Amino acid sequence: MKRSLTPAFALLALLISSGAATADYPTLVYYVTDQVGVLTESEEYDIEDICVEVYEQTGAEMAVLVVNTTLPDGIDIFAVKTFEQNGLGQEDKDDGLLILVSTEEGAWRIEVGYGLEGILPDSKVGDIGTTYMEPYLAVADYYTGIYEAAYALGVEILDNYEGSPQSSDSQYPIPWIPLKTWQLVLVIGVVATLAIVTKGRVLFWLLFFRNWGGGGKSWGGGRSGGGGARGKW
Amino acid sequence: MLINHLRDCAFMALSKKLLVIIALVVVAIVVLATVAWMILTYNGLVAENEKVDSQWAQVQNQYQRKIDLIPTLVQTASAYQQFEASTLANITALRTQWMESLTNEDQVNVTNQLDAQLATIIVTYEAYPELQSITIVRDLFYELAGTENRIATERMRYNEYVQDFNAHLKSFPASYVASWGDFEEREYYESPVAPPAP
Repeated sequence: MKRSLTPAFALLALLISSGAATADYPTLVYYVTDQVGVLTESEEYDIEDICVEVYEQTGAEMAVLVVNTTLPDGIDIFAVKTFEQNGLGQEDKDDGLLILVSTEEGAWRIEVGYGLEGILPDSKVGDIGTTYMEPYLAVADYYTGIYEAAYALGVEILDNYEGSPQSSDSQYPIPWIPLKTWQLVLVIGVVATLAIVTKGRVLFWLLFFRNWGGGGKSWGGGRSGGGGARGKW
Repeated sequence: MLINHLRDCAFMALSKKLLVIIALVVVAIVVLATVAWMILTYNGLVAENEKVDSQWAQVQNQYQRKIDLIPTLVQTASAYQQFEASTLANITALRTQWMESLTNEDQVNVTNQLDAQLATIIVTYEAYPELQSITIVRDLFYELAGTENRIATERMRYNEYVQDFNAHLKSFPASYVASWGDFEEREYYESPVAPPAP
């Protein structure tokens, strides 16, 4: 009887973890999330450098997301919801920014958090989008378009926004697992004990936790209210 | 014999007393828990109701932003013959009406008419690429589109809060608590005019 319940528990674990990890909108694991695969790894690093610089100097959190489509919501609602779900920007400052590119629709949107609306009015954001991003996106040069736009936006933020400088040096011994040393030791101890008690089955269950090791970047919890601009190419 | 009997009687009396005490304690705990739950539910409803109100204020703020944008819009647009003078005049008139309207309902009505007129202007703007190449016009339309999107966003959140509140209000057993307090179901705000496409 007990034995037959094991798969049921594994299934339950799968359901709970998938329910928690994948809500309706993409989870941004790090500054650049490319769901389509139009950016190479080194191109992602280049863009992330800008975001890290902005974050370290001002605390503002810039993120890039490339998706196939934003339907059925449309790019406006998709951007607000993704922004809200991930919580870009510090919670009390709402100083986040999301550059969203939807390849199949041929649409872009730059969503600006409440706290950055003052220094990045819609007209400025719109100009940056049309001038720096659109011409490149139109010829499928996603990297240049996104890089140039991120750079222009980053410069605006660095020049005009004071914020509060942050350190992005990981305070964790293993950067991609958000656990301090003692927590890590505790977790390893518990897992090892469970592995012995369950004769290794717990390791099999752990495979089902999709968020496993997906620490990456923990966003501040900021919000946006539909500020920014959008365009099509 | 007698002593044994007396001992039994004393024991029974004691255990009866004990039972009564236990029963009282259980009743007290149940009553306390119910009262605590009622207070929490009531406060929860009050908080959710407040949230709906403050979100409505957010929607109003964004309308105000749009209203504030209109003089500049009309002034700039009137310099270009592609925009119809009558549409611009309508927009100015509706803005005045909006500022003079006293109730929320009036304001929503005027806003809907205003949105229809603004949609015409946006269609004109999109039909003439030469307009899009003039920076001052383009910036203005980015501001207008941004304002529309802000209104849509705040309205969406407003409706979400209304949904949360109404669901809570109607759910059993919270509905009992709600009937003692002075709570009413909140109205959704649906816009008959969809925001213009980009």
